[in-house]
This record gives sequence, structure tokens and C-alpha cells, in this order.
Amino acid sequence: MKTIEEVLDMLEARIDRQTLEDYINRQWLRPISQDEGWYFEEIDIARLHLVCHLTQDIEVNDEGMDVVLSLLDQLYKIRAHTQKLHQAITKQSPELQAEIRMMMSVEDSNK
Amino acid sequence: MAKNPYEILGVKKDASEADIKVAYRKLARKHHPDLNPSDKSAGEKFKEINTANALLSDKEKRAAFDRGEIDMEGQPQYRQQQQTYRDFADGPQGSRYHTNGGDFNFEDIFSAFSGGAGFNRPPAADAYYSLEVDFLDAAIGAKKRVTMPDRKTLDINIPEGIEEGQKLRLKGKGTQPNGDAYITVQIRPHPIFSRKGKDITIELPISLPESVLGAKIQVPTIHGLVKATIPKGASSGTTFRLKGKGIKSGDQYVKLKLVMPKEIDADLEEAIGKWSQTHAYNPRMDMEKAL
Repeated sequence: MKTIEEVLDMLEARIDRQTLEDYINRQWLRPISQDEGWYFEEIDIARLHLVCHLTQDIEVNDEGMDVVLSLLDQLYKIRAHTQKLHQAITKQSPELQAEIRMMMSVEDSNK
Repeated sequence: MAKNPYEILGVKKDASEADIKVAYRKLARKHHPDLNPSDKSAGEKFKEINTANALLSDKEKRAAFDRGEIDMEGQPQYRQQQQTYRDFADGPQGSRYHTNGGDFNFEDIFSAFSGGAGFNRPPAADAYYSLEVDFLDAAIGAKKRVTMPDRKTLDINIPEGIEEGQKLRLKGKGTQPNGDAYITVQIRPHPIFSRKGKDITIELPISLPESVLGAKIQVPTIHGLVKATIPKGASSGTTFRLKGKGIKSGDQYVKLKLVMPKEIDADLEEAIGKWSQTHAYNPRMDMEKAL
């Protein structure tokens, strides 16, 4: 875990303290809050890179950022669910797996 | 092979800084790996775009490249973090940022597969075919031995009442012993029967005397000929039902069609002429009232 100072050092050219705090206030970043300080895990830093890319390189505005991040977070949640489901399915018998595959390839069956 | 940053960004050699910026943004939006989590090649492409942009947006480096002093790869690479957000968001820590969008139910997960994570791709061991079957075979069921385009011969049991587009699975008949064959069924139309779900409809021609006097006739059904009675005075369009003569528990609907004799001879003309003098009727009365 890294403190806010360490993160600012890492990205010094990219972002200043005020902007970073602004990102946190907007909930774009949700680092761990502890002892009145922020602590950044790897995922928070990776996400900060993404936010910087979107705001600075692509120039998405603040309202747009809310929409983009909300959609992205939904997308990744669905991906996580999908992967779990996939894992659950691969533990089933080959027959059942084939059955599921078939069900999913059949369009609008029994209607 | 030497890569050309102009080609990567899709700009001309004399493109202005603004042109480059616009081109870069457009491509970056499209290929950012975090925005395209299902596309494995997006990461590589994105890196390339960034490298090209880093070179072309730097006046000195761009000039050096134009003079042929450096190649694109000779430049310090775009400092991309080792792992992108996608790597974490897809991992266990990712749940911290995951958000529900309204109702999230189990069906959504299934529909999410079709766009997604590669599960949907059929294993190589399965074989996929499509097969055209006769209308009657589809309606009453049949056993068929069919040679597929890949020369494989399959014994197919067509179940009674199979529908257009339905899929049949033949276990163990894939390209490999552990795979299955999937057969999508298409139904050939029939010259006299047509079908709506489990019900069959046909149009049955009747003669003028049959129409006037009524008759006992033979009606074709998918199960063979069936006796039926045409009531006296049946018109074109009169429809009756043969219960249980459709597919499985379905019915057959018979719509009558009055067919006049090919030639109106003197006898008929005389008979009708005589009859009509005393029995005029107007079949369009209801229609005229409705106007």
C-alpha cells in the first residue's frame, strides 16, 4: 500500500495533490481510508492511470467521467460474474456443459 | 519490420500537431485496453498508438525521425504501467469498484456470455450441420440416414413436430469421439399442407355440385386420407376442422375453395339462368350496408 505522497511522487508529471483529492471526492477513486490518511493499493494506482488517461489524454469532462466510470464498473462486475459462472460450469459434467452450450446457442426456443 | 508512426496514427507526413492530436485521441478511445476488456489485442495496439504519438507530438523527435536518424522503436517507450486497470478489475480486488446497474438477475449473466469471455466458443470436437427435412418428416417424425457435406453419414432421428430452426444433438458424433454433432433443422415447404404450430391447414377444391348438394369426400391429411362431409351449400372460404389430424394433438383446418367447371356449357347456363329468374340474391348486401 502506498500513501498519497508516494502516489503523487510516482505520477508527479501527471497529477497534482488537489486534482487527486478531487478524484477521491468524486468517488472516481476509492482508496482505503485509515488514520486520517489515504492508502492506495495496486488497483487504485492502476485506476488512477486510467482516470488520468481519460481526463487528460482523451479529455473526457467531469460529467462524462461519471458516466464512463459507472459503465465500466458495471461491465467489470458482469465480467466477474461471468467468469465465476464459467468456472462453475466447467466443473459440471461434459454432458451438462454441452447441454448448456446448446441451450445458449438456441435462439428463442420453445416460444 | 520497421513501424511507421504516421501509418499507425493514420495521418499524413505533413500532418499538423492538431491533426496528430485528434487522430491519437480517436484511436486511443477505441483501443484503450481498459475500455475493451474482451479484446486481447487492444493492449498491444494501444501501446503502439501511444509510442507513435509520443514520437510525433515531440517536435525534436519527430524531426529526427523524419530525417531518418531514429526509428520508432528506438525511442523511449510510452511509460505504461506494467499492469493495466483491467488486470486488477478482473481480479479479486476488482470487486471494490464493481457497481450494479439497476436490477441484476441471473438471466443477465447468461446473456452476458454471448458477447463475452470465450465460453461460448464451441470446442473443436463438436460438429455443426444444417439439414433440410421434408415437411411430412418434420410433422410426423422420421428416421433418416444422411450424408453430410464432410462425407460423414449420420443416422438422424427426426422427432415428431420438430420446428424450423430447432437443433438436434447427436451425442458422440462430432469431429472427435468426445464431441457431439449439432444439426439445425430447416423444413422444406409442402405443396398442399402448411403449418402453424401444431395445426395444419390446407385449401381443398370442391366442385359446383359438391358445393350445392353437399358431398362425402376424401381429405388428405399428414396422417393419410380421411373421410369428411361437405355440408350442402358450402362456399369458398368455408373452413372446417378435423380434430386430432394435425401434428401430435393438433388439428387440421380445411378451407374450401369452390372451383367452377372449366367450360360453362349450354346446360349449365340454362339451368342457372332459369333458376336465377326466381331466386335472385345479393351476396354483397352486408358489404353495401357497411359503406
